[in-house]
Amino acid sequence: MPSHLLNIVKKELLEIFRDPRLFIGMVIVPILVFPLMGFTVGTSMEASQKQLEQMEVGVLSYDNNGTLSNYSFVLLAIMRTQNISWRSAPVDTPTDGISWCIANNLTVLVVIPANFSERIDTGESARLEVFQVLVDYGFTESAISSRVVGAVDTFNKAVTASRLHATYPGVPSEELLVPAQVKSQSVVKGEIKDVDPNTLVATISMSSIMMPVVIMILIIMAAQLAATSVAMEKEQKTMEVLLSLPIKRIYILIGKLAGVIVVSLIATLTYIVGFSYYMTSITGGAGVSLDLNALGMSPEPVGYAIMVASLFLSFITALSLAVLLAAYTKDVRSAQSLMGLMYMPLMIPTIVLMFAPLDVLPTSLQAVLYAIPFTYPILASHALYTKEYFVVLIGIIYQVAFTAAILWLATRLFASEKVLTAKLEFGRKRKRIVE
Amino acid sequence: MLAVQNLTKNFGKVVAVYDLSFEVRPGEVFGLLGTNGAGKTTTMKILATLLKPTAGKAFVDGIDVLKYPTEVKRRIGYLPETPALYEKLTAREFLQMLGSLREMEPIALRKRLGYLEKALEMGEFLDLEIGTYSKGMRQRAAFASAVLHEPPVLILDEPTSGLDPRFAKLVKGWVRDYARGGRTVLMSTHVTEIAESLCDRTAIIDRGQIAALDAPAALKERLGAATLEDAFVQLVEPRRK
Repeated sequence: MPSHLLNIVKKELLEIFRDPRLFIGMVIVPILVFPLMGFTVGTSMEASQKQLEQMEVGVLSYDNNGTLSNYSFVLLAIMRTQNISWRSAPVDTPTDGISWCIANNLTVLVVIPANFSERIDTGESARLEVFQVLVDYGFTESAISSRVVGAVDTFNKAVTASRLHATYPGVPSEELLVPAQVKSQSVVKGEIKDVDPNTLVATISMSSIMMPVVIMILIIMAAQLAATSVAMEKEQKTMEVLLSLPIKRIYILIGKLAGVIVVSLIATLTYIVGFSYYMTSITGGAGVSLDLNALGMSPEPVGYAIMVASLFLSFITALSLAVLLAAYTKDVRSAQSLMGLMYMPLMIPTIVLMFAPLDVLPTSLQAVLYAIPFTYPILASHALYTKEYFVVLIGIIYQVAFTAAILWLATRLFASEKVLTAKLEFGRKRKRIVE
Repeated sequence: MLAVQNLTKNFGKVVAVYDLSFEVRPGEVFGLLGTNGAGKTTTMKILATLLKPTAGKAFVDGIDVLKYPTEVKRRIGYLPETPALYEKLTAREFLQMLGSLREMEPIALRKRLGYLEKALEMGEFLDLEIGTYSKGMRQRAAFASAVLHEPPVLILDEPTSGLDPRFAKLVKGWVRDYARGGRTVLMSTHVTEIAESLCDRTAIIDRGQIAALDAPAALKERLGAATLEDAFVQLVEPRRK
């Protein structure tokens, strides 16, 4: 009777949504915490960027007895064009210069040696010294010295270009500086794509890494929810009330799964919204540097369909397994401990496939991964871009068979008295008293 | 009516109930009186189709509990020993859910809820979440769930447990009236006074077996005991030695 099923689902949803712990964990956290994290990270990155933009350094120059001449003047001018302002340190030694920088809140001291211009003029290499005051070893501090080094790099190119111009007048400096240029292009399925392979791989692997992690988190949360729901029915003895009603026991099982699936779908949506906002916040909307549409590489609808199917089956498998395991426990605490067993097969494919494709792994590890049904949604997320669907489709057939077997076992368990009498406990053994 | 024939239930090596036989007639309140662990709850769970007997048979309204469990479930109201309620639902939502699952007509369900609300004085808390209830409120809500669909057979495991004297009296009167209407009531208790004041007949059950079965007055008379408690001790104590 579908009305029986609807009543069970309604009861499940009421229970879940009225439990503040579950509601906060599955809906509020992703919708609130991810954007908040994004805002915080974005704000700190913006502040760091501003600090770098308004960078000021101290300069201690010994070049031509302290008089700024020729090349040291050019170097400092280039620094100014790159938004690095500078102040002359009114001291005699680098040690005093560093103390002066600290006293004046400057983090970098550039020391220009006495024979700087002269050595460059005679074709010799001059050595600049850059001292950076480190305070918090943060991300911004590493970028500060890179900016100074970048300015010196520009100076070097300018000097080299001016020297080459004397020998090759009329030749553009870019060509003089880079005699052999490289243009890397990607070949995808025999078709040349006008994009650097590194950029393409970085763009695709970004989603290939993030998606499995999000998938894993969601499946773990849903399984935990299902296990808690069943264990709570046993702990509070409400399972006895349900089982004493004139309804088919499979409705109780399906109703429970359906309730958790509805909540998981809502959680998935909030995760997607929250996580997208988080990614946009930290990348300023420029997280994906490539337009995959323009390259004809964006995922196809069939790819999405296959992924959704594989993901849905994974949910059902995880939930059925969770219900099956939880039905053998005595209470919520035992169920949650037992759920730890399920995390391993969930995490192994996610972690392994994050770093290496399946076909380069040793055969034994490949066999293990193929046997785990949770491998296939991750392969499906990769197949969105590779468009190699065959293995995933075979995997879906395997997932259907695996899920059917687990559901059958769960149905058998619910039909037997074991659903009431099984009392697996962890960490403590008690003598059983029968009344 | 209700009948148990040579019923045995083992949990692994533990024998919970052994070769138990008794009958409960329509209009009768029948008590299973015993200590904790005597096998009362196991017997009731078998009759409520929650457990399967290892041997023997059980019938509710003449229907075999093993062969036709769904038909049996339609005819019984079962009150577990601990009030089993959903903490996040209100009693009204819980009872409405049970009524719908028992396929009660919406109008009949509304009428019945109104009646139980008054009879069990549940008006104050019917629309509050069950998690906020006192022990007595929980017991009344659980009791309402067992009698909601007016079943011909009531199986009550410690029905007055957790109730204050006023409500215990109210429930006892209610149970008696319910049986007088031609329905069958099987209840368990470990309180001899309740068995004495409420049950038409009582089976004293010890270690999974019936030690004696009769009307409380007849049991007292047979054993020359002043109270049912004395009769109970006289019967059970020698079995401990």
